[in-house]
Amino acid sequence: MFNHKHLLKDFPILKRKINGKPLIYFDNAATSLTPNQVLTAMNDYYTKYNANVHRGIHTLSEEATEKFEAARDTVQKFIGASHREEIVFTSGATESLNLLAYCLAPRFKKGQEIIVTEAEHHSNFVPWQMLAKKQGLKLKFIPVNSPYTPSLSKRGKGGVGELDLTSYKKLLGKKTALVTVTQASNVLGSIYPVEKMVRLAQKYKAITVVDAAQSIPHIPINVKKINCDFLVFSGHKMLAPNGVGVLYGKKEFLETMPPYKTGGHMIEKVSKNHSTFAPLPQKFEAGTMPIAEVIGLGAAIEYLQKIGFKKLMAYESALTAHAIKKFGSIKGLQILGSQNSMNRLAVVSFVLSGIPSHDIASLLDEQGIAVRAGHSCAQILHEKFGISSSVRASLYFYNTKAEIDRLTKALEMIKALFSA
Amino acid sequence: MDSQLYRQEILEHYRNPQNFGKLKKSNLKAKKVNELCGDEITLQLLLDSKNKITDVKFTGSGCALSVASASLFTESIKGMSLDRVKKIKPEQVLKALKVPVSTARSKCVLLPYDAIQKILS
Repeated sequence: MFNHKHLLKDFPILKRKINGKPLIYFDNAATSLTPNQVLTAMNDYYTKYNANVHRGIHTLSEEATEKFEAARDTVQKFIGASHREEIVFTSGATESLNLLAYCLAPRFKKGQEIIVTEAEHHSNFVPWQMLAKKQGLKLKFIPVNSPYTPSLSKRGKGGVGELDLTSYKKLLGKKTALVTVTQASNVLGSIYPVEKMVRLAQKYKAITVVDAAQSIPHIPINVKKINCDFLVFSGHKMLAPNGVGVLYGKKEFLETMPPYKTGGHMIEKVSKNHSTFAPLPQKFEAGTMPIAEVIGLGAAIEYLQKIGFKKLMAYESALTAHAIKKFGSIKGLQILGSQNSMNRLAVVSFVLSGIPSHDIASLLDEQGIAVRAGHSCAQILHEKFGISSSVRASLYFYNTKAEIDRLTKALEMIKALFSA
Repeated sequence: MDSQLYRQEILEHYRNPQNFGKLKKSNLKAKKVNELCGDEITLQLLLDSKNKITDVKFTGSGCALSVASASLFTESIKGMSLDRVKKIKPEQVLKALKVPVSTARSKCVLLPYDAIQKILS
């Protein structure tokens, strides 16, 4: 479905050999590879119009500002936001979430509750945990169905890794101040029904946050359809460089929130006794932004749009099905998430009985295969599944079925090595 | 599969580690978690009146490298005085494995060593 000659041209890193073997990059949930088009866009900034934005009255600065703000428009259209000033550039999803935990804090009262899922990445958990501790809020967890969830046997296949929405409904109440949920698990690959979850939370006037860091590289997102108050993501998991991310927020919230970082660029007027702040989105963009990276993010989105999510999703879905089938054929291998390739990303985490994850990752690296091993920044989820770590193969559109076959073969060899 | 890192000798230490288990009596206990992977190790030392290690055992869950390293390391410090153990350099522990270890995996190999140095420092 993809022309791999073109892909190799766009992603020259794929031609690399690791330990004498062709590289297989299966660590996309950690960070994706960067195509030449994105690098060129960033290079153009440094070689053609390197200047600070919104400041200088000179040609370079005007050109830089134009490109920088064009990237904001690209993001706005990409996620279907109503207003361009609802797009705030940050350093990544982590900063977006820390900003929210900090700036929303004054709204919360002691005894109120924050609902999160057990599947959250640490970045969408620790900031809220800190806030809860500081202000006397309570954290409530939407359970994830583990293989050991007793009620699963009654539900039939496909429930592992999904959220227990019955419990979620029970957790919601008048004390609920905020619900924050990942749209896709970075370990299980499961896609969660954020639209429905937001709707349920809104009955209780709770603020809603969606972490789209894992989902946005793979599925189309429309913030108006989800109707969440906030949505965050990072650039570097969706072909963009690292150091740039987005906070989307409904205008009425962003306008009433205090600033996060203060200093240059985010002010309106500064005097000895008092400062007033710039309008949105500059209020949240203090200091010099990563200008080249923002422009790179715009180019990355354009790259994804050129492929089209329909084609991308169909291809990735076939990859997922193939990976589940192949990995599932290995005796002693347990896939952590759903075995059903529908409604899930090509993120397949697993444990191989008797062989520690880090050893598997080291041995795969010797074969040129890059995977993640450990808790993947989701210790709560691993604890729920009764394990301390797992191996994660996370794929993207530049991966192939042949690469999955090579990984399967390597895993069989590792098994043989350990049992010898 | 040919592996430079996972020689059969290392895998043998992983399968049948020396000094794995608990001591009934001990004077020192050291625990360390590898924040990278969640592996943890607990070492127990039995000392004589001159602070010489007369017995050592370890427990915990870990990758093959950390278990093999703990096996080799505990074997090597038996009979040593605590003062001598203090002077062991991390490079010596890495070298004992007789294979090149990447920076990322050095933490695994050094887990038992770091555990002991933590309580001795």
